[in-house]
Amino acid sequence: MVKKFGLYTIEDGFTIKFRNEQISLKKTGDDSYIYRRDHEGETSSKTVFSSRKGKVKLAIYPVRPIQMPRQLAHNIMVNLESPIALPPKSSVTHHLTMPIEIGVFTISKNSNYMIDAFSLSFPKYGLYGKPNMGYICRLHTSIISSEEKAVPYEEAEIIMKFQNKSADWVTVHKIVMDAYMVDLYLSGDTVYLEDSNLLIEDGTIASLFLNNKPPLHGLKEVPMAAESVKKFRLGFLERGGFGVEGKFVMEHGY
Amino acid sequence: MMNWIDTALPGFGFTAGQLLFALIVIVVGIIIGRIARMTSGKLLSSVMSENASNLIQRIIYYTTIIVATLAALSYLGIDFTGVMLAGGILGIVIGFATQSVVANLISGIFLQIDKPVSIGDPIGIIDEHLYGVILEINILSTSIRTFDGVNLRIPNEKLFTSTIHNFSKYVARRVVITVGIAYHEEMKKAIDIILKTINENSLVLAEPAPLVYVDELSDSSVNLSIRMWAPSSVWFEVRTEIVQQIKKVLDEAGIEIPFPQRVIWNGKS
Repeated sequence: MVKKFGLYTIEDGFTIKFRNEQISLKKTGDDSYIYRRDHEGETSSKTVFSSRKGKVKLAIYPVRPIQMPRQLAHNIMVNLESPIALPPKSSVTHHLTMPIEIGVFTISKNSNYMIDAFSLSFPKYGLYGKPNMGYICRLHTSIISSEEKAVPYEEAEIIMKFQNKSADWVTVHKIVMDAYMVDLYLSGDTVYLEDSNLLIEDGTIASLFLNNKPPLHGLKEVPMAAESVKKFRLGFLERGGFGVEGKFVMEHGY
Repeated sequence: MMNWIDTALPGFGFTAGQLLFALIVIVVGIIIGRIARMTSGKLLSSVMSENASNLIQRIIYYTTIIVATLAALSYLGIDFTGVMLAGGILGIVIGFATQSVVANLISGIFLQIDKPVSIGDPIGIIDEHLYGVILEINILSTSIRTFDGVNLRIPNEKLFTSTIHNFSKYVARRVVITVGIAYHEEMKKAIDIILKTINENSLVLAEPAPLVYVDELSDSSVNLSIRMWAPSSVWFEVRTEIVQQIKKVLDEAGIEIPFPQRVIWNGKS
């Protein structure tokens, strides 16, 4: 499989295809190019930009799945295809999947700009909690397996440790995470969520920890991840290369 | 040294020492006023707007100085009975004259503390039949841009004492649509088509799940109630889109949405 995520030189006639989405560049002037994304023959996105005499590059990377169809959600809810029952005082690691989107960036020396984002899956949303104190979440249903099963360019791998510290059996049906805390890692074109663990200390509340490190050795952090959200906590730290460990308390059930 | 302090000032009923002490009371009053203004500023800035906070800080500052000055003058033996009487009468007159202003001011402060609305919220003031987006909450009045693009200034007292619908306070809102189908149509088929259409719309929330059910056997149609949730920010968009889509898919499926009809029986024939 040809690697698609990465940096590209801007040139007339550039094309790349992600399933039914075709990205192309066409020179329209001395120093200007038109970016176009076509979906089954119809143009979905179009932007004109300057290449600054070759100083600007095009980058295509996975981004957090909260751009499409617009920024409606700050959270991601992964519903498990089959619930996981955890014995008291036990822990287990499972492979899950989460949705990703594909971000297209123009990169100059000091700044990056996201000109497009798209999803190969149909985005659906759900409410976690109650309308007065809940969260709108990007929804995803994940299979549970012991090996990598993510659909390329559509899903990221989650290698999650489930820890039940309570004295009772618990059943996990869903995982909710704050998208602004999510860091993505790459190995070739396979995308991984950062190292994560779900901790259950009592019967009603679970805490999801995102540990700001790769889940496996040898993975590289997606360089554009921080750029994929327009506002995020401690953004300046993330841009400066200082990741932030995240904790999301699932207080409306798991 | 002690002599000049105890020396009575010619033409006044107090000594230089008493005058000095009175001046110290006023200076201390000013210092306390400034500290109170700074402290209240810090405390209030998190619970109300800058305008409201500034106003309250000024009121605290000047009240402290006035109290200190009155205490100092009283210490010097200046009789305020006449002034107080005149001030009291003046206060009553001003109180009556500025009743609505004070009511709006107090309501403005409570609006800042209670926060039933915030800037940018789409709201409806039910008692006044007004709908729009909050632009600015000032100390006496609130500016609203109505949905038809008119700027409206409503006194804070009226806003505070009205029933307010805040359409964006919660993250999600329910969309309710009623669709009537003809009596001869297959209800389950219509429900399935509508549910499929709703689920294919990305903005309709999958959780809580949309619900379509037979709500009423009415005069001219079997009424289906369609209930779904949408993010508050796109509620109107979802509603308008879905109504249009339902009409389209029911037409495509040949399911009749009947007009109101009445059978007239002529008794003689």
